[in-house]
Amino acid sequence: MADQVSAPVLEVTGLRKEFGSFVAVDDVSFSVRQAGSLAIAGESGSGKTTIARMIVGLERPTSGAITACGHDRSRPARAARDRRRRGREVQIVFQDPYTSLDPRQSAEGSISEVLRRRHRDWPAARRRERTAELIALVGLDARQAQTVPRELSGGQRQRVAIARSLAAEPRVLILDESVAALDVSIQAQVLNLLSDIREQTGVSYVLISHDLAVVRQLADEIIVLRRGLVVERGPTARILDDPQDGYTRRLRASVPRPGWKPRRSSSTGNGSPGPS
Amino acid sequence: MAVTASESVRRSAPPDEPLLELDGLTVRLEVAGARRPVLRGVSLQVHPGEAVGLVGESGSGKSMTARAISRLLPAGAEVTGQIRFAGRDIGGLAGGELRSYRNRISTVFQDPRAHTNPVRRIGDFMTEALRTNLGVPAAAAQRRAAEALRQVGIEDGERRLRQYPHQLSGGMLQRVMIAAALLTSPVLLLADEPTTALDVTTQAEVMAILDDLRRELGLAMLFITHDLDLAAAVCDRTAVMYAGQIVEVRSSSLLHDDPLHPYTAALAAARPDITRKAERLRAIPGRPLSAFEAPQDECAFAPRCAHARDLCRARVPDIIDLASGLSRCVRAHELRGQLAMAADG
Repeated sequence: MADQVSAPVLEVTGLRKEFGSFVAVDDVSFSVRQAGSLAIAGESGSGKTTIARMIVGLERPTSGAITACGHDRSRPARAARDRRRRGREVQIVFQDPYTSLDPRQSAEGSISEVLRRRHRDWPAARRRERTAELIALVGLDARQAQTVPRELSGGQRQRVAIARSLAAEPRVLILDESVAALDVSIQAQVLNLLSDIREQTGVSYVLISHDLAVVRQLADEIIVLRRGLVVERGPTARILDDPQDGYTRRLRASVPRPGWKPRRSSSTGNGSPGPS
Repeated sequence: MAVTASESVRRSAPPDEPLLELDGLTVRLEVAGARRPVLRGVSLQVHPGEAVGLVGESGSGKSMTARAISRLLPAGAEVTGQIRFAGRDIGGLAGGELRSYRNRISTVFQDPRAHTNPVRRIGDFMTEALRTNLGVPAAAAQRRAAEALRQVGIEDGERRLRQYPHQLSGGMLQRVMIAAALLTSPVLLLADEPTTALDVTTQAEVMAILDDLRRELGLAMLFITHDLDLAAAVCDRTAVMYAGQIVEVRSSSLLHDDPLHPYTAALAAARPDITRKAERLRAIPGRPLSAFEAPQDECAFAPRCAHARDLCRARVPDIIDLASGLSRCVRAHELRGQLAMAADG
């Protein structure tokens, strides 16, 4: 037990992914401890989603190692038992709550299905009880729990996706732009919810995000990715307050905030002639 | 007759007259068998050369407002109130007059890929309006398109004109869209979430280009976005929408530090801050409501508002003029100066 607390729950070493001649992820290493929260920040094409997909087994790394809870997962699971164990170790919440839920299944149904696999020995009453707990944890009411995704808003659907992933009692939850599509007022609710869940359950987060303000709110540590390479890493507060790498600085300076003005970067800025 | 009418649309309004004026604009649509409002009494003015932001969450009616201005509302929409452009009601325009009006307002949309034809070249797309609506010869249209691309920072314009949309990145394609929007020499730019689909560094770049060009050309702009800070960065004034109504209109520089409506303050406070981690974010309870779901005979924001009192539920609040801005809050005078503090404390 003492061993589990000190050892990272997720460790990625020298991870590389090539698509043909294109290198999407290049020698990326990081680790996440129990109840820790690490952000992988970067823009489109930086490789951050490819890393998430490799961790959950949707892509196979070209080279490098991924270890969750002491088990290697850089190769496809061979047996159903392995697959189930991996599901208990790492879960993912995708960006788009409109396409990541079964349109015919109610929130209750989809959570209950995961519980049936996770705890095969549970009687139906126990499953119902746990489903209700999870529904309450993510702040949905009984009526919403029984409706199909079509009748829920984006924020409500994302809560269902979070509840379903938590039903598997994962040690690590990967949040792949999970709040990016939400309205500001709903995003704040879901971010608060995610903070509470980490505190209550000790789950670890890997937050994949392009939004540095969201990263600041939710992640203790950050790695900044550009074209598959880690350009800067460290505690979130230090990296965002005092970025050293030129790209991190540019990323930081591009975020709109009170008093901010957009500026043309020197690479494309040119004294454009007036209109004809 | 049609010629003189279209001339009157082309003529710019006197400087003190609004270029675009929405006057009690109400739009009702058929939703689930019943006629329901999507916009409720929207009044807003954009003066020549002025940039006005229109900020709101999903369902607030900001995009529907843009569609009403472009005369692109869904079929069966019932419109009351007026939209005046250069002093003229655009509700009755048809045929050549409507085309002429639409050449004076140009729109840049959120998703450039959805608004380009993947099998047609950039050049075809950019010059279509010039060739078909304004009768510019093809070669001259191509030259003007290349020049417009230079203005948005694309140097190898001639080559780009021969390319297809898929050969350009999202940021590059959005710059093409801006260049195309400027080609017909509009006087008003409607920008509907033009950078929402872009990376943040690309967004900064595209917004800078849009802002520079707009000032150079003296264009008016209605900038529609969900991002309060982004609107404030490029707009003189910002209007905030909630549930199909405008709830606040304010000089952009004052919007963040001295909001006049509780919703504006709550929206600014809910956003995570890149400079500090909040113990808890100040989430707004509930979810944003569309106009047709919101209460119709009380303040639409009251159910989510921390400052709501009985009088907020007594009737729909009017817009109150507070000298430095407008607020649709019955407690606006009373809450003056407390909203930003409540948001930051």
